[in-house]
Amino acid sequence: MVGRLLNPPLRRIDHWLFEEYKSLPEDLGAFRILFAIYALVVYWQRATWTIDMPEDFWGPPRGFTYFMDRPPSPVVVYLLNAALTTALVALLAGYRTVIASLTSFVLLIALNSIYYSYHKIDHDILLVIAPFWMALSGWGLNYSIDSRQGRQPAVRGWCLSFFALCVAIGMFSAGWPKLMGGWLDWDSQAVYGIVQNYFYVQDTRAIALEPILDCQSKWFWEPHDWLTVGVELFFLVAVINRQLFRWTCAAMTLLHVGILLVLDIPFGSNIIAYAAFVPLAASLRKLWPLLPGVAVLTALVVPWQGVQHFTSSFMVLAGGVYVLVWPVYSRLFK
Amino acid sequence: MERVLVRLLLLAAPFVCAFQYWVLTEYPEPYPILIMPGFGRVLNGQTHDHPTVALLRDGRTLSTHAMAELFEGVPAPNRVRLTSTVLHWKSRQPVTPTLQDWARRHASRMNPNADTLAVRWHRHTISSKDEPEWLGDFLIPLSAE
Repeated sequence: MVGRLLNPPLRRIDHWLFEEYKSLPEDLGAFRILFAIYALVVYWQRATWTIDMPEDFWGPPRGFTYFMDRPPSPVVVYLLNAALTTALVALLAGYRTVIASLTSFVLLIALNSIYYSYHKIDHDILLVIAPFWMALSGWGLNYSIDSRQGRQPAVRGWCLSFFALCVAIGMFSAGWPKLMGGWLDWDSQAVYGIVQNYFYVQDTRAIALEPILDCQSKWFWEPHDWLTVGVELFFLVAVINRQLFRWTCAAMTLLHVGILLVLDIPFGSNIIAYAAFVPLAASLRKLWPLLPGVAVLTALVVPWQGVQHFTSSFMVLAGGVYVLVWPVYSRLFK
Repeated sequence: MERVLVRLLLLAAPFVCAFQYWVLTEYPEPYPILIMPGFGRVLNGQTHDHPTVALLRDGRTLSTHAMAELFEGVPAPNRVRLTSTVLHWKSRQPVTPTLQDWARRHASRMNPNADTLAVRWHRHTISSKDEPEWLGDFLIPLSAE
């Protein structure tokens, strides 16, 4: 009797866990390539700036480095970087994908732990955990050396389900303190506060920052507070249904575009995380031929120091264009 | 077997979240910020209980301990210079020579009639439940000397 009562909800949970987020191998493969290229560029020489920092600045939060009294030697930082690059290249090529994924994950965590021990903590955890959850997902099945050599791991839907859950929890944990901190209070406009802070304090001069700075209407700013909190919290509801989750990711992508244009903060790593839930292969197949051109143009136009910021910003804008254009394009040219 | 383990993993998720919330979120990591009284709470939406407002926030670059060491024995006007320098260290933006210069550049937009910028050195904790701890006040004249 109890078993019969419990069965339907359990079956629904099982369906969500094993089927809801099951993807086609070619989409997973395309995501693996996109992830590896992005990580190779953006995590190139990760945390090497810390080598020049005074030892006094070392103050690790809880994590890999918590029990270290002093920073690791520069040799360790360079060796970790070399290992990360090797692991990411293997991932890009789809060679021993499971091992390459897990190694990338551990090395990303290790290097970020060193980086964040100097009190600058970025919000790139969604990208960092991606190879952990995707390792067994079957993202090495297509476009890979593994498949050519006959290594055929199974496609596991639960990997992407857990990754979606992590994205949702991460977003929820960003929205919750805002909700508790009074972002929905009509007497204060938090987004406006951040905008002012970036302009006056941090000297940010993003393309859309100055034009909107003088707008003081709470009817303009307060909806931004509500929208931000709403979308971030809604992730945890949307995760139940893949389609709804993708729409939520799309809304968040547009929010990221706004954040980039106003505050010059590129959440490229989040866009990469959302890309895991999108049927990427079809769209990327059309875009692959453009990639060498974009790479050459970037190398020519963007100074070396700015390549990582550019790549991250490019990813946000590309995500925004994808959200706005691809649904129409794919319907018109089906 | 795999399915059973995956179900157990899902079952563990709430506990992992609870662990993250209680152990990591509540971790009272102090980070220093400079605040300017009376600018309205609009600048700091996340800690809206505070009567004053974060103007300069430096949690990303320096531990309180390291900052205290830098400050020890340094005359007050120079302390401000040190703070401003450190503030821009990590971001590798052009270093503002002094906080005074920075204040002069922006004061006109904040309050054209201001002749002094009051800055409070303030140890803030991530958990907004805690009362901020005042570490010192600085008055920065805005008029050119």
